[in-house]
Amino acid sequence: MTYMARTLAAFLLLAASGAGAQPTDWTTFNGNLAAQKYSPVSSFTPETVQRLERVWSVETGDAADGSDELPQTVWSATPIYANETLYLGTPFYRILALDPATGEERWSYEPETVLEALTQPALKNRGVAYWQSGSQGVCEKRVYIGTMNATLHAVDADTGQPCADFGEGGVLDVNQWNTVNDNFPFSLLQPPTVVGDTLLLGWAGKDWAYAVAPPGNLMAIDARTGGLKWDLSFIPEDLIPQTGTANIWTSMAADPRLGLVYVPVSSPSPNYWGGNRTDPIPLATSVTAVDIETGEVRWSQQLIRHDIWDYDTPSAPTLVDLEKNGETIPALVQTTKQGQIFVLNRETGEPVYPIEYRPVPASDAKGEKAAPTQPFSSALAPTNDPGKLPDVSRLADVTGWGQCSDDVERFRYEGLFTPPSEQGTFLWPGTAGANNWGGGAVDPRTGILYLNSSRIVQVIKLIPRDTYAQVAGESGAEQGYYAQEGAPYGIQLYNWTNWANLPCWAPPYGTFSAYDLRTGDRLYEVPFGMTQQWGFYGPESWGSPTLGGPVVTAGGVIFIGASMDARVRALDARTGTEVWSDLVEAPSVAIPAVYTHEGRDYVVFVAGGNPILKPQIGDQVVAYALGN
Amino acid sequence: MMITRNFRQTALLLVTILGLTGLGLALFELLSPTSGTAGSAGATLVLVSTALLAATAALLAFVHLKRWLFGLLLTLSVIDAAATAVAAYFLMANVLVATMLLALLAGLAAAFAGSRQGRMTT
Repeated sequence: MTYMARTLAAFLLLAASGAGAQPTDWTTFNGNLAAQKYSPVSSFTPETVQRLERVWSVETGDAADGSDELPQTVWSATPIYANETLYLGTPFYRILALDPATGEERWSYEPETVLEALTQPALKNRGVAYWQSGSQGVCEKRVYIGTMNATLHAVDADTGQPCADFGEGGVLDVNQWNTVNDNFPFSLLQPPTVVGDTLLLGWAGKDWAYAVAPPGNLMAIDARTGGLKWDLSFIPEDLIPQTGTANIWTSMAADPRLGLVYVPVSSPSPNYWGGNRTDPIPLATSVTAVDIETGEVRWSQQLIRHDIWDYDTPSAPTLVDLEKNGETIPALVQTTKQGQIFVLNRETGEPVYPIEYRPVPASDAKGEKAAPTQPFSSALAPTNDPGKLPDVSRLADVTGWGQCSDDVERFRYEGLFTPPSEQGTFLWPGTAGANNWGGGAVDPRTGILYLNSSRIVQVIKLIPRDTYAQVAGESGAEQGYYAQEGAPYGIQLYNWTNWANLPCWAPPYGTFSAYDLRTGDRLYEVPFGMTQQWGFYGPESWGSPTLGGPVVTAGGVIFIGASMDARVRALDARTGTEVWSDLVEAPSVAIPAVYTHEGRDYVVFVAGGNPILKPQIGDQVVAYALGN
Repeated sequence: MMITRNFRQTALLLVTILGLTGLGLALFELLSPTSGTAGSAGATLVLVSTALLAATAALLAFVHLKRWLFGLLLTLSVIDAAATAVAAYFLMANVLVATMLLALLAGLAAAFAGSRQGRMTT
């Protein structure tokens, strides 16, 4: 080999290795504004992840199990890697800035807020948001965190000091805009979505508690001052006195090129009876495109008409350009609680795959008028076949002396969108959804969607108001009773189990799937994770219900926590097969972050737990990198 | 015949030691945050069952019991070791599974070493 050839070969090798370690950030909740949860890091492959090692672990101390004066904590924060720092929000609403390589704390911010479960059954946090102006100076880079009692805090990203020009001394009282039906505060549990110099902000409430509640809205806030640029309500003006919510409690996606933010809008209030809101509310339970500059609705696709199942649109839609029939389609992929996957053109809102409106069962509840038809995404197979109730579990039926089989005869189920009833209706998928706020991950190079789903069957009963107090007695939410004040019915909602708490439906209880969005084909659907009851693990073929979402990397690996068994895992993206796992402190119900810092690639998980999966809390942040 | 008696006593001693080892492993399962089963009912169950195994095996090894009582306790010990191994399997506590399988083998060896009373009187 000549000198020149050797030099050229060395240059190419260097270039190739450099490409493998290209700098990557993780600056938003979903990795990027397109909510793809995709990392261009290529060093993590199904082969190399065997060499993953825990490089640091931090316990924040911000956790409570609910046994003392503090409510239980639920921690689902995606770590943000920006400004060569790892930022985290905690369920005590502190901001932590950590060294990405060591986990060492650089600074922390204490918001001095109330730690009370004002709207949620637990202290919840899904992290922080990051903004930078492009200029140098104090507060030209900022980190934002919201609190349960509706304050939004802005601090300098380098020091953690409050940014005095934001709101009042760095704190914005968002509840100043909560002026209609304000029977609970705007809880800011999901970090704002940052587009340019605008913070797009939704909030969480409790739409199961009251018939009349604050109408859901989207607020655009100046990132520097906290001033309100515009405000968009999702409830028609004339219906506001009698209903509420249709809020945005989860993350959003944005396309700065089109100047649009895509918002997943939840169901109106109350959740399980809609006699007070039989007039159309077209923006409720929808995915809606909103002009970032003006707040005008460009288009909206309602995914459920007259939602009486609490099937909120639960996650940011994923934006991806799809090659289909020789065309490049600017697409939007929306996963849903009911397990359907909608693919739309994100410029126009037109379906890329057809949406059929099929007849669905009528309601027999007093004053209720269920929609006669509902939209079905007909080309993409839904996750977990929501149209058919799972078979009865033989184990649960035998140990429950036939209770599960009896329940099938006793309760109402006529397919997806069977309305809640006084006799009891199977809610399948359950209210936690087939898919929830974690959403899916999409590899933009291949157009393949990766998605974790839960299979939980619940029973919902409408309890007439005149007997509710007697039936519910002293028991409340812990026994699944919710008053739905202002409606003629309270409800009881519970998982369909036998006396021993064994699920009455046959496994699997959770799956992981891949879809080719260019063809609509499901590539695989495999059980994912392991259930755990009383410490005992279920067989792998049972899978696990999941909360939190996946990340796909350029190396062909999926990183995901999400399952009951408190494992974090790497899957082979080609098959969904597990190729690596590690035990962490509690279920990692957060989307992991993947980043490159000082030339080394990391994946970071937050292990915070969620009582929907099991009563185990955590306050752990764990970082992994490849060893030698 | 002393050989048979010694063999049985040795086997029961081994069950005692394995029971105590299992107790330690069950304690780890119950208390260590890295076990994945800390504080769970399942870990408590194997803690109790290994403690019972160790105590019963020690009783059988060191105390002269009536034949029927000896047989009953030995049978229960074998069942205890087997059931604990199954429980440990579902706790994914593999070392505890192995320990209980060894205890099970030792318990079976003690059981099949012949009638204790009969051997002692010949």
